Amino acid sequence: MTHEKREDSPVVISFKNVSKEYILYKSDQERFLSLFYKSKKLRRHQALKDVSFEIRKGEAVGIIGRNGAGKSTLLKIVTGVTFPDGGEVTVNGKVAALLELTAGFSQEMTGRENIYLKGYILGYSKEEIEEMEDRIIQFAELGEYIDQPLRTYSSGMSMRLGFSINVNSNPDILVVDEALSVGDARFQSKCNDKINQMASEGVTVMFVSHSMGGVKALCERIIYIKQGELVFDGAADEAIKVYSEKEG
Amino acid sequence: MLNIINEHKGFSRQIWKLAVLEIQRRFKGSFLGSAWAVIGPFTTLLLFWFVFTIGLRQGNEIHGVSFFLFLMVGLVPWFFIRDMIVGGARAIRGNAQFVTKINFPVSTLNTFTAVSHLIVHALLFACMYVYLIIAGYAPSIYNLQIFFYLPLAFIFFLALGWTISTWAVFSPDLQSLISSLMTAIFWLSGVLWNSYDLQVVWLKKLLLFNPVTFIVNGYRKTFLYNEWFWENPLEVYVFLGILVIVIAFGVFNYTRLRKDMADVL
Repeated sequence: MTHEKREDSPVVISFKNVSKEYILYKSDQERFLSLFYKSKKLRRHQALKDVSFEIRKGEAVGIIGRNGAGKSTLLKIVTGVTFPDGGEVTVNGKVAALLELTAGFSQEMTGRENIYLKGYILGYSKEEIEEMEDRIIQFAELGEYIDQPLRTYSSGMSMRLGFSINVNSNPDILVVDEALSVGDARFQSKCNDKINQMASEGVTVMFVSHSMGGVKALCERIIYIKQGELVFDGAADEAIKVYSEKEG
Repeated sequence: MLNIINEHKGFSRQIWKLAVLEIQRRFKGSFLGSAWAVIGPFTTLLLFWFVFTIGLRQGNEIHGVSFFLFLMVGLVPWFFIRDMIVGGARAIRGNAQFVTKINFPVSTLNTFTAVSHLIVHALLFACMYVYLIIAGYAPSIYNLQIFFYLPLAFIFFLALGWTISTWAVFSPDLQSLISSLMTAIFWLSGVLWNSYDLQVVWLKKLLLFNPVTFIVNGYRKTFLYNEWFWENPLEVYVFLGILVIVIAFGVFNYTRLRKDMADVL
């Protein structure tokens, strides 16, 4: 896809002057009291300050910044887990988040049962899950373990299953945290290939990373945030230049 | 209110599935499985019957109904109410990963845990009803009132859960508070004795405002005493009044605190 074409694509993620503040409670008592009364004196941490950008369908956008810059908060807002305090966020389409792969799994149930459990949690119908089931199992490479309870799985196996469910559920938007490690090196590279393939098939990708190499390989556009503020949004090469200047 | 209804839109099948899975999860790995849902309450029933009838020699008939039946028809709704309150408090905190890790319609957590308790109740209820048929108390036209009392109980304690589960998110103290209150509520709500026979007038009036008493007495009217709920309209009005308050307060708390939940859990 060429750049001109993308500009005609519909906007799928839009942030307008988005801010997010976390309250830092000093004690359990303080948190309990905040149920009834939110004191002005509570310490707050501004995780995002007035962030605005638009992502169009089919774009692969990297998010870079140091630890605590606000990357995770930004992703959590896109996935709808947390909510902004100010500004407007619009997300159009089904989001699959490769952040918390094993969230929602039950240890006592088998891999197959967990596919259904997770499917229902994500809002799919039984028919839709049946349709995905084979693809998920095949991709996860669990073999006969698929009918064993999850508590017998190694952590890598659970992650593989979680990853497989997320990427095989036909999402419109894929949110990826690069720090994520799924199984061994071979499976990891299979995952990266899958992400690349999805990106080339027109799935919108948001890719968070610390390593510039990984982002550059996948994304032509990069958003750079520092201490909650958007510093740069544009071509990958330039973004990395700005980043290395600012962060030294 | 709209907020909560919207979260449930198109999610009814999921709620049912998740409720069933919730029960499976609760009992999975044990040999007797879901039979425990019946064995536990049955043991309690026998225990109370033994203590009162044989130990304390207090097991007299209550308005022509054997103490055992009186106890049983009171305990069955009580177990449901207890599960709804205790489970209601845990509904969100116990499923924290649904709030902090994925985008999930949070109020349906309350609904599916409540439905899972309803399924367990249906099982206990069936056992109770079979016994009532054998004992010659059922079937009767009055039994149809179950379709009045049970939905009311379900809605009441579901709505109560909107408040207590969101509060429990902010402070685990609430869960401990509720567990310690449960024993008191149990002994004070007329599950073990007949609230209509109270001699103390102010206490009798006070119990009008106890929704647990209303439901437990309702079950006894439905299955033992052949009374219609409209024969005592005052207690119905008081209950409905409290119900409206509980719903309004629950919606208020849920909408107010929904967006902060992920940040404090």
